[in-house]
Amino acid sequence: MQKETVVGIKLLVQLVIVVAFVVALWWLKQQNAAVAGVLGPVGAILLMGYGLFFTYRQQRHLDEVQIASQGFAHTHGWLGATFATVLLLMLPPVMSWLIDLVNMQSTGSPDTSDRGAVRLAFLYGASLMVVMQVLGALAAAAIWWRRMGGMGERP
Amino acid sequence: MKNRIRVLRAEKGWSQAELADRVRVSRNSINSIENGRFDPSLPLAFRIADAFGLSVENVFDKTHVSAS
Repeated sequence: MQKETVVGIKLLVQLVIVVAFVVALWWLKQQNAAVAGVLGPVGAILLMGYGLFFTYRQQRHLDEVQIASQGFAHTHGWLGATFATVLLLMLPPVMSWLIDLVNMQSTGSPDTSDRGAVRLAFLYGASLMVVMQVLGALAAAAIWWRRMGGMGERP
Repeated sequence: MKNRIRVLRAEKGWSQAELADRVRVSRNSINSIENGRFDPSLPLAFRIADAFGLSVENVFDKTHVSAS
């Protein structure tokens, strides 16, 4: 099979997954709270699992320069973007727009919800994201050094 | 690290893509190594040297190896 065709099929699969995700969200909104409460987390776990599987499969075909490139992108881009996201969420216009969006999606009106609670939820969510990513980076580093045979001779 | 990959490729009449296929890496990776932007691992350095039928010292310049 031609290389371009393979890339096209892979992109099509990703597009189908994104469309399926949006359709699933729309469908889930119409179900009762119990069904949504069960299917929501299950769907999220499946999606994250697929993401991890897809990343692992892609990385098997990378050479050392591409892996180093990914490492650089991960270290600089991913962490930087995380803090940029937190800063973005702290901007009043962005925060207000998101609160309106959440209220609109949950109640059908931008003003019929407790804005303070939503604001606090954003703050907790953003803080948790940063803490989890720091812990994740520490765990990954520990695994890496363990695989590399530890830290070497002590001075 | 400086190297003679560009010169050796020209002597063999190989494109970056052709050398990349021979050493099983991407063309972008060959470009990065050739321009001295990325120092290859020892196995890859040996594969590149083998592709040209030379020793590693004849492809890579050890006087430009950084301490870090």
